[in-house]
Amino acid sequence: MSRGKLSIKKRMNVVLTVFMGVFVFLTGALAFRQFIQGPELRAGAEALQTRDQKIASKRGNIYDRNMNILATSGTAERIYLNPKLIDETESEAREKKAEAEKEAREKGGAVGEFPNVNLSEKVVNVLTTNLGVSEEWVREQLAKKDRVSIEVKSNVEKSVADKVREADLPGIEFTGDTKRYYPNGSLAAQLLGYCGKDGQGLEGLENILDDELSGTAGRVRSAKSAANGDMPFQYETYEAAEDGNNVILTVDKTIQQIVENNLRTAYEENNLTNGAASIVMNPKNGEIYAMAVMPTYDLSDYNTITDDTLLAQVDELLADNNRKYAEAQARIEAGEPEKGDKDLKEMTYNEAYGQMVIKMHRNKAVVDSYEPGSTFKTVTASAALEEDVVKLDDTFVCTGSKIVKDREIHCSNREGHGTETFVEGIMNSCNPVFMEVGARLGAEKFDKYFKAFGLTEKTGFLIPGESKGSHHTLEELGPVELATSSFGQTFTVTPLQMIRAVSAVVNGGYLMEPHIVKAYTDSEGNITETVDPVTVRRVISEETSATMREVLEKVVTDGGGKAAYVKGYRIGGKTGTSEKYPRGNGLYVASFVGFAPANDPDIVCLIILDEPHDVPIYGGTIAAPVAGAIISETLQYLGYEPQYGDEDAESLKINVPGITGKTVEEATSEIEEMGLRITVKGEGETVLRQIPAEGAELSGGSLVIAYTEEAADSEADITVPSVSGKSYSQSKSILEKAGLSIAIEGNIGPEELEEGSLAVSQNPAAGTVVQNGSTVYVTFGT
Amino acid sequence: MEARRTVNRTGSRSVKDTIVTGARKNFIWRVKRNQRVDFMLFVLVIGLLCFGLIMLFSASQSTTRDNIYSIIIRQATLALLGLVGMFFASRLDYHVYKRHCKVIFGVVMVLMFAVPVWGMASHGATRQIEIGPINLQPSELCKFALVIYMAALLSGKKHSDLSKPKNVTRYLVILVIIALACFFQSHLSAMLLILAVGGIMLFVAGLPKIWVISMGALMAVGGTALAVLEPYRFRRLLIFLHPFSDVRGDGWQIVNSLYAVGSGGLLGVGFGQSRQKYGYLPEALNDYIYAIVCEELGFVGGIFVLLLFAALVIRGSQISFAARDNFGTYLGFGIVTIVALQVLINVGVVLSVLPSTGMQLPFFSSGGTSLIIMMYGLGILMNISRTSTQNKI
Repeated sequence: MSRGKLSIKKRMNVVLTVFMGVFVFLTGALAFRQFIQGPELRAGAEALQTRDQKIASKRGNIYDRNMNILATSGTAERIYLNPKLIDETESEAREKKAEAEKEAREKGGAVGEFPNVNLSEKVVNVLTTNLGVSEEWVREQLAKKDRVSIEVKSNVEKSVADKVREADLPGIEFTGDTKRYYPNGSLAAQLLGYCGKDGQGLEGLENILDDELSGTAGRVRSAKSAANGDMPFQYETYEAAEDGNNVILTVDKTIQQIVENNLRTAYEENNLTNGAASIVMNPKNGEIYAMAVMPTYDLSDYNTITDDTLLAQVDELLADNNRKYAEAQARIEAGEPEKGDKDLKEMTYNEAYGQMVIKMHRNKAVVDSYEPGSTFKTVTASAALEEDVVKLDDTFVCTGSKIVKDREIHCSNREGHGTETFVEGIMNSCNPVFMEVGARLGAEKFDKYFKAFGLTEKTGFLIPGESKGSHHTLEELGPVELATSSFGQTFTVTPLQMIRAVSAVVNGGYLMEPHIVKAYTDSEGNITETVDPVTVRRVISEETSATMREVLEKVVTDGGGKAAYVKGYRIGGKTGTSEKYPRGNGLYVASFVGFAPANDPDIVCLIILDEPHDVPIYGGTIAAPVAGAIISETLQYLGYEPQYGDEDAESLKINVPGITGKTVEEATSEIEEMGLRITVKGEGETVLRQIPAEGAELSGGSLVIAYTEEAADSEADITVPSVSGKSYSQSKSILEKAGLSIAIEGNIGPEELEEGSLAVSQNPAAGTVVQNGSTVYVTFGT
Repeated sequence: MEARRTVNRTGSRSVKDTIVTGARKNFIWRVKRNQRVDFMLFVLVIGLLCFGLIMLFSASQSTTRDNIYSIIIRQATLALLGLVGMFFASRLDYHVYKRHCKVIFGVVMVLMFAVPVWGMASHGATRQIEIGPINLQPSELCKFALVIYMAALLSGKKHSDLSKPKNVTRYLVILVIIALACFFQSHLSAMLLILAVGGIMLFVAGLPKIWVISMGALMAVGGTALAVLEPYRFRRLLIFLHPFSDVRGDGWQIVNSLYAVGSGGLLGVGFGQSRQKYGYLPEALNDYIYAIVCEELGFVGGIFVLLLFAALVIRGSQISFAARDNFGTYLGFGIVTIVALQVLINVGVVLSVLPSTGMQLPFFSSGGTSLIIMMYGLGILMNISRTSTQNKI
């Protein structure tokens, strides 16, 4: 027995030694994991356990020059889904319910309530009813059971978020967010741009001023449980958000509205297929008062096209692309592909729509270049006068065309203007005169002035993607190119470059830097930086500039720009019509650049109407009246009283004649004889109705609308409904249902708007008949 | 020798008489001075039990949302029952088990084979039997039944000579039968543990070298076969070597265990302050509770637990060796082996030096009846210590 026991002890010691060896080994392993690998594992654990939550900073406001809000931010919320927590809660509740049922079966008694057994159904219900997400989408997200945070919607208004919160469902989580409001709807849309759902500026000033406006987001770094629940007392660090700065623009909201209203009318009346742009600028300091582009879009719904022309172009683009694609496919199948056939792709409706949305967002006034045509003659004339190669009373002979080298270049008037002075040449917009003047200047000097007027350089304007057009270099500038360039063809500039050059022509010869930002303020509203006007260079003398102002005023009083004349104001300007490439396709750009008061201009206005389709298409006919209207309304707003001469006073008040029952032709001649303008709506031959009614007093050049179809009525004019005593959202919906848009009058923030402000007045008043799509200005108060 | 005679004498009596007489004869009603339970063993067991309960309480703070006490109350109840069992076992003469070894082993084996059948019938788990509120895992009982049965045979006259292949075969057959039962329960970790315990007992009892070598070779062949035949399972088994290659998948548990351990450092993040227990570390209350200990109490806490267990193993071995007879030695050392293997494997898995298996850490892991059974086993060891001649403290 004792020998056996010894043997056992020996063997037990072997086993025990092995055990102890493993204990020591495990101690080593523990030390290795905790000390050698410790820092790395700790970092890994921390990364796993902590979640960063962004605290959105409040984005700064954008104000117009009179501190009207153009863009502002209110607090909103962002809603997330936690499928993991929902799944866990639901299965836990189901287990408990099953247990309780079992207990109830065995012992009797009630099962009790288990509200979370169909949690996911409730989540689907709450999200779909309140946030407008599809049921399908929610179910898809709920199926991702290992995810703890899926964004459902950002920029959710507090009232909506509260409804979701009331449901009190685990697994629906909220964080703060800011929502961008544009209280004026589509006003200055392409200029202002918009913000994406994460609050980052995506287009326009919102984009380029993003750093100023956005501020710095704060964050909370906190430890969360695996299911993204809270831990009771774990570490949390907090960095406060820094609110963004405010920006005060040089834009004047009222002038912007004046420009947009007139430009919209022109856009619709002339059936423009490539949009319209207009800029109003102070020539003395380069401040932009207004910059408008048509068709426009609602900034709070920036991916939706409402314009019919654009919508039609979506279909065209789609059909065109897919026809080309089908042809290419056919060629490939036939075994004889052409170059590039393989690169063609089929397009979906959404892709085509997307391309048109991008087009709609473009700030045509800064990004698109065009052939300025005769408006450029202002520059050529200034250069020629400054260089003294021509006198105002020099005489020229126009035969309707001019032979340059081996080419015959036509005047817009094929018959020829006959013998004319230089001044008359400008008033007639005579091309041969300018070809001659350009030749007298010579290529070098022409090029010198072309550059001096800033037409080869970007203006430095705050817009993403400003372009600078294209032009002949000095080497390329042969006699033919010089001749065509002299009257504004065969090169392109942007509208902004053009208005800046014309400003220099009329402001005493100073080329200014156009600027849009007047000042920056911090988040509390203290001005931190003001933007001073920048003179880039002196281009022409005051004397030449004064001469040009006189000549260009004559263009409006007696020359090709008559349609811009508004009684009581001294307006100068120059028309322009250029045929687009390829020549002969019947597509034109009609433009007009005007300034006022002509003796000492405070505003310059450029109108570009791209691809008008109803005859006439001339700048002098269709662009000039728009400029005239904008300039006169703006001057009136700026406080310039009209000064009527004797002649003006007589024709100031015109009683509208009755034209109902007359043929369109009769009506047109009758109205035009009275010094009014007429627009015919509808396809019929007799005028059925007119606005304004017979006997109304109008000023000269005002528009009379003649309806020839009953159907045209409903589409064209609308009786303004009353919004008195309604909240902002109610008013908006009432007016939008009626086919009108709403604009908020006065300074009122989105918070106030939402918190019980009611409409106190509106303009036009209820009952007024206005055109479809007009804007109603509503004043809200508490 | 004395005990065997009792069996013979009482053999013809009724069952009731047997129990009454057996209890009277084999139960220590009054403890004599030289029959005290080994104090050090007692202190270690109670220390581990208390420490285990405290750590489980801490670890359970994250998951028991409704009632932070529900898990700990359950475990404390089991611990109380365990204490009662341990007290009883420490006073019941351990030779009782030798006398009834066949009955004990037989009943447990019936349970072992009943489980998969039962489980299939009720579509439930295939490892446990529900008896009222108690979930009994027969594999837990089986470990101890095997130790009792083998200790009885190895200390008997008939089968103690392991130089005879016939005897060795007999033990191997027993082990194979148990392994089969575990296999049917698909309870791989229990199978490995039981085979290891049986192997170690055979080794201690003097298994000839040739057997030791050939059994080692057999295991090597088995491992290779697994790698070849089921490469996928094999790869999963080896994920512990490179858990970060699949953090979100197979490596998740191991990675989070290591994150917990690594977060601890020297002194830990503080009692109750574990972050990994908030849903990151699966089985934080059970197989991976040691990781939470290391996270909250750091290297110091981790080492302390290992030291307590090492001390228990050493003291248990001393008691076993100094037992009154060979049965006591085998029985005691078998129990010690069960404890040692469970601790070493569990900690090895937590520290990712072993592939993941479902091995509980005695006294710490929550769950079922294993705590009661483990404490009863240690009660037997205490009973052995009463008559053992180790240096009493």
